[in-house]
This record gives sequence, structure tokens and C-alpha cells, in this order.
Amino acid sequence: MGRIGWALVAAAALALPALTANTYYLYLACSIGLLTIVTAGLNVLAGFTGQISLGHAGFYALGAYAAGLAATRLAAPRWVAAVAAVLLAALVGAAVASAALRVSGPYLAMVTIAFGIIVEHVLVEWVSVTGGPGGIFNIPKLSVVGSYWLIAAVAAVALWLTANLRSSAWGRAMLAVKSSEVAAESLGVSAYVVRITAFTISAALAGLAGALFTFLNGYISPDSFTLQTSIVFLLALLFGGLGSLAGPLAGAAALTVLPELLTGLTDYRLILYGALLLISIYWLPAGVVGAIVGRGRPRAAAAESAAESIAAVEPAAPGPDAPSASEPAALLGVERIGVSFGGVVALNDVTLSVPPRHIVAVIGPNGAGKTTLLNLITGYYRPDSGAVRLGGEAITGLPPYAIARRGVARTFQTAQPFDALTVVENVMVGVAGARLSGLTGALLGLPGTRRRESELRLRAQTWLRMLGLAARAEEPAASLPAGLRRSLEIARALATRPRLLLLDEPAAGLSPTEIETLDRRLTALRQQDGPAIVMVEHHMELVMAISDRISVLDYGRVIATGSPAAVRENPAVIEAYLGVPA
Amino acid sequence: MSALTVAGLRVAYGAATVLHDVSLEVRAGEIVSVVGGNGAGKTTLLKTVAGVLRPAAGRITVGDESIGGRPSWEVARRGVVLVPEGRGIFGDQTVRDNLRLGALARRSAREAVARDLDRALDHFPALRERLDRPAGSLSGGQQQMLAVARGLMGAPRFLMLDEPSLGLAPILVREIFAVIARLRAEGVTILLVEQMAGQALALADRAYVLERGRVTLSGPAAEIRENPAVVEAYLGIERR
Repeated sequence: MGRIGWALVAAAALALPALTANTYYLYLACSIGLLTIVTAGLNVLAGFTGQISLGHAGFYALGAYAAGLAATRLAAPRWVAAVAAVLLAALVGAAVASAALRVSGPYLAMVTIAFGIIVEHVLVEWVSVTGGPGGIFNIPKLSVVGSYWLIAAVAAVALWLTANLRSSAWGRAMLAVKSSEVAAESLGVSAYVVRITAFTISAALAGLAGALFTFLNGYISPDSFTLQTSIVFLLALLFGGLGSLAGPLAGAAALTVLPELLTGLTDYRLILYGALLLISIYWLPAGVVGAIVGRGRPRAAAAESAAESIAAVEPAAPGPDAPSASEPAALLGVERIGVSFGGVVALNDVTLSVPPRHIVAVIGPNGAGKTTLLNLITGYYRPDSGAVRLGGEAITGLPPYAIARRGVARTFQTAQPFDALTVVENVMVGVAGARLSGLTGALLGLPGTRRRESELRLRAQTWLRMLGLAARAEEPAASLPAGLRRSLEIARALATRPRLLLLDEPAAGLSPTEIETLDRRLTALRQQDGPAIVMVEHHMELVMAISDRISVLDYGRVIATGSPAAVRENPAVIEAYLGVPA
Repeated sequence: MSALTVAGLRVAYGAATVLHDVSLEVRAGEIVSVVGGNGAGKTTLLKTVAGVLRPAAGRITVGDESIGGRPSWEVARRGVVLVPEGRGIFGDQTVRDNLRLGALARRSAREAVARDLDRALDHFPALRERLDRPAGSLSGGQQQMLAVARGLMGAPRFLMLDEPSLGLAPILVREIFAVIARLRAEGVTILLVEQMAGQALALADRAYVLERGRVTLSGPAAEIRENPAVVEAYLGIERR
């Protein structure tokens, strides 16, 4: 939705109380606002990080009851009650998330359903505090008009916060985790922390909406916080448009107004919800907002020619921090590492040593264990025996994001760009790495955060230029052809300014001309004091041209190690791998 | 007689046109190679012929039957098989089941399927040792072999290969090109997209050069291979 769209919505919201004094319409508008606040939060969880919750009525209830109790039993002023509601919901949200987010996808949905049901039952059973099935009444109410202004303002702020979040390092990290958790961790982003953060934000907003609900009605009971409420929350988001910033508003309006239009059919409300869900899945996969916005949006011209992508390597890219004089001889030391999967030995007693700024190629037949070796170095697998050292420090058994934070970047055999982000945003995730900076700044869009944003973008663009992708910076990463997805992945990995870069078949799917370009880029990188590189690759021309050393794996063992010249003459290597001398 | 005729094909993703007015022909028993840089539209061409993408305009004929715009499963039942880029194997199922699934569209007798399974495994002995392992546990290169072998299980009359050598060790790249040559000898018609353009052109009968979604050059593979512009743009170090 463009500026004009938002301006129209704002104008309508401002004009509404002047147009009608009918409290029914104002109450309806308040309901839309409350649902917007909840779904805006849910959008951060489901739209940005891709995790589904079916228990947000539980957080809505926590907020409502916290505010209700504070206002009645403690006679606290409303703003204090609201703050208490947000804090309680956020706190419980963080606690639930840190336990529940060890699982994801459908398992998380199940856990959240359980949470919602538990809250509902506590509300019914804990009579001394919650008033049981009868609930709490005589809560000091706001006038409908007063509620309207308050709710409209909070809903606007909630949408504004999520918009700020989306364009911050945090928002990109969330979308990155949604696109590829594995790739996000390889850049130093902890998927677990990012998901907990998203879950907590969504819980806090649900709690805030709950408090406002209490002030609007002056009466709360468990009936308002059932599983069905959670389903409506999620449905509003799906129907409006998952991940889009205006989606929560559109979905909230639809899910509030439609049932009212059909009040005669109250008994069939669930059927209506079911129908809406089917409609959104069949005809509106990107929601109402996606269907309106997606139409006729021009896509940037595709197809960079071969000639363009051979553009000269620009040496402007920033180099990594200068290595200190005390750095040990080997940057990476893989020491007698072994691992087996289900009784099949994948790697056996493998030793590999990579000095700073060297390029070491790992070659060998398919299935020899080359990718397994990279996965062991980067922490995706744990070795059964042996150790991995980086700059003298043992990193064996550390999780992938922790290893990435120590200066190890990698690419994947099947390129894994973050499809939910644009090309330049992909690289910005790499530039930021683990340094997501303050969440408050991200939510509020503070000047410091904005300044940092433009810095990140500038640096990302430098890397894109270096990899010949500058012309496609604003395109969605999903639109890149296979070869350029690999280039993007290399740009993203380099953007973390690693000490060690692991490349898994960087030349696969590239034409010979494009391989020459890659060759020049990697060579230039080394001349600029770039990272040490471990490269798994089958294109012998490239391997022979740029490697300082080659290790050959076969059936999980190192069968040869040495200079390119020595390795290509080695009879065992010719037999197992080359077929004829390279 | 021509096995595949593509005339005036236009394909677009949303507003971005990827193929403009592409025409090409593959005659029965031929290997035809499509050469072009990344983003030229090669994969799009194969996907459209296979029915994965719908053309915006143009005709696609296999034998004397028009298949343009038909869904991919119908196309596959006519013996038109695509081995996609990026493998697309079923990781949770065993190698054997992956191969059997390749024969699903044929509805042939058990014996014929068993015989073809054996033949596919003869081409890729590494798969025979791993028949009962989940396909997801194979290495990248082995998965690529499995994808090609599964394509063969469809008993293709017309086989499209999208970068079959991707991620294979040199010894296996030679092997896969030898397999392609054997398939032609068995009478399979082949449309080949391959980044190792030199080797693909050495094997192919004819070739088309695709640039920015347009056919800019076509002719006998031997001629294309000597064309200075092609050497400059696509063959590079492979020829040195």
C-alpha cells in the first residue's frame, strides 16, 4: 500500500467520529483497531519469521486480565495498568518462546494451542483472582469515543513499529531466518534468538490490545479468549496478507465487518471463517493486500548478458581487519577429525591445515565427504573424534552462528539466498551479521539506526559491485538465475568480512567464461588481503589455477595433499578422481 | 521427422518477459544443445516445454501433438521427460523408490520397470550400492546421478537435461557425457542445456545460442563451436 493508501486510511479514521455519533459503528471501528494491533504483532511472528501461533488469545487474555485486575483491585491509573499488561504478556511470551521455540513449524503451532487452552482454563478455575466463568466487571470504562481515539492511535503506532522493524537489521534477520535458517546461522545470526524476539514482540502487542479491550468494555470473561479467538487472529493475518505491512489492517477490517453483516447467521460463523480461509488459500495466496499491490507492479528488467557480468573486478571492497603479527601459522586446523552417520563412516582421520590468505582446494569423487568436511568446520555437524581449531582456538562443537561470529563464512552447494529479501538486503544481512544493534532503535526508527542502515546499504552495494550484481540490487533474490544466486551468496559471505571463507562448488552451473570471472575475483580478493579460502570444487582448470594447495578426499580419507602440480601427477588421484591427467 | 517443434514461444514471469519469440526444432534421434549465459532463459525454455511453466504465446509440438500449455504430468505421460536443474530428488525416500517413482507415469509392466531399473543402475553403479539408503543421505553429486537415472526410468522418447554435469567430479562428467551418447545410440532424442558448452557442443548434432531470451545463432554444433563470438563468450578456458 502506497503513501496515498495510508493517507486515505488515516483520513477516514480521523473523520469517522465526526461522521457518525452512532456508538455501534464506533464500537465496530474499535474492534477493527484491536484486531489490527494483535495481527500487526502476529505479522512479526508469522509474516517475518514464518512461525505460526494458535495461542495468541492467551496473551490477549493476559493483557486484559492484568489491566482489569490492576484497575480494580489496585485502583491503578489506566496507563499503569496498560504497561503492566504489556510487561506481563511480553514476559510470559519470552518464557513460552524460549521453551516452545526449540521446536518450529507445526510443532510450535501445537505448543501454542496448548498454551492458549491452559490460559483459558486458568481463567475459569482460578476463581479467587479471575472471578471464574463470570469474569471481572465494574472496571472503569472509557467512553466509546475516547476508546476509539486511543485504539486508533495505538493501532497506527503498532503498524508504524512493524514497518520500522521490517526495514531494520532485525527485520531482515527475521526474514532471513524464515527463508533459510541454515544460511542465516552461517552469517552469525542466531535463529533461536531472532524467533524469541519476534514471539515476544507479538505477545506484547497482543497484551496491549487485551488491555485496551478491557478499557473499552469494562467487563471481561473467559468467553472472549478461546481457541476460536486465536484462530480469528491468525485468519485475519492470512486473509489480509501475511508479511505485508497493510495486511493486518485489511484482514482486521474484513474479519470484523463480515461477521457483522451476516449477524443473522451467527451460528454459521465458523463456516464463514473456514470459507475465508479457503478463499485466501485458493485465490489470495498473498492476501487481499498482496492481490491489490501485486497487480501490474513492473519488475526490473531481467537477464544481465554474459558480457556485462564479466565487468572488471573493482578493488574498492573493504578488506578484512589486518591480521595481527602474533597470528599462528595455521588459521584453520582440522585435526584428525572423524564422523560417521548411522554406521557409515563419512570422514576418517582427516587433517587439514590452512594458513592465512591461502587458498586450499578440497577435491575428490562424489560422496567422498567434502561437503561433510565443510559442515563439520562450520558447526552443522559434530565430529565423533578430532578437533577443529581456528586461530588456535578450539571451535569443535560450537553452534554454526557462534563459529560464524569468529570469522568463518561459507556458501552452500545448492545456493541458499534469502528469497524473501531483495538482492541488496541479502548482502546487508551479511554486513550486519550478529550485530543487529538495539531492538528499540529498530522499532522506533531512531536516527542512529537509520544512519547505520544507510551505512549497511552502502557497504552492501560495494560487495554487489564486486560480484557484478549491482544492477540487480533492488530485485527480489528469488528472481535471480542459478549462477547469479551463487554470486549473491559469495557477496553475502564476504560481507561478513570473514577470516576464513568456505566455498562449496562455487563454479557449478557457471559457464567457462563466468568461471574465468570467478577466478579473477578470487585472485583479486587474495591480493587485497582477503580471507583464507577452502574451496570444494570439481572444475580442475579453476582449482589448478588458483589453489596454493590441494587436498584430495576419497571414501572419507585424505589420499593426497600437496601443490597443484604434485596432485595432478599423483597416480592415486588420477585413478580415483581425474580419470586422465588434468 | 521432428521430435519437438517450438514456434514463436514467449514466456513471462509477471511483467518480465524471459523468452521472446523463440523457435527451435529437435529432430528424432538428435542431440540438440542450447548454449547461453546465466539468465539467458535456458532453464525457462526447458520448464515450458515440460509444462511446468505456461507459455504466454507460441506453439510447442511433440511428434504431431500440440502440448503447449498442458500440465506437466500430462506432458510426462507422453514420454517427454525433464531432468531438472537442482536435482529435485525425494530426500526422504530410498534411492530405489525415487527410481520407481520415475516410472510412475508410464504405467508399464513390472518386468519392464525392473529391467529399466537395472539398466539405469548400469549407467550409474554408485547408485546400486546405495539402493536402500534415503536419497537425502547421498552426496550432492550422487543426487545429480540419481536425478538423471530417475529421468531414464520414465522411458523417455524425448529427454531434456538441465545441466546434468552440475557438481560432478571430472571422472563422472566424462561418464555422464558417455551416458548421453549411449542414450542417443538407443534412439532417445535429447535436448541438452549445459554450462560445459565445449563438451556439450562436441557431443551435440546441432545447437542454438540463447541470449537474453532470444535465439541469436543456430546451426550444426561443429560450426557453432568454431564461431568466434561463441568461443569468446561461452567457451573460454575450456578451449585453451
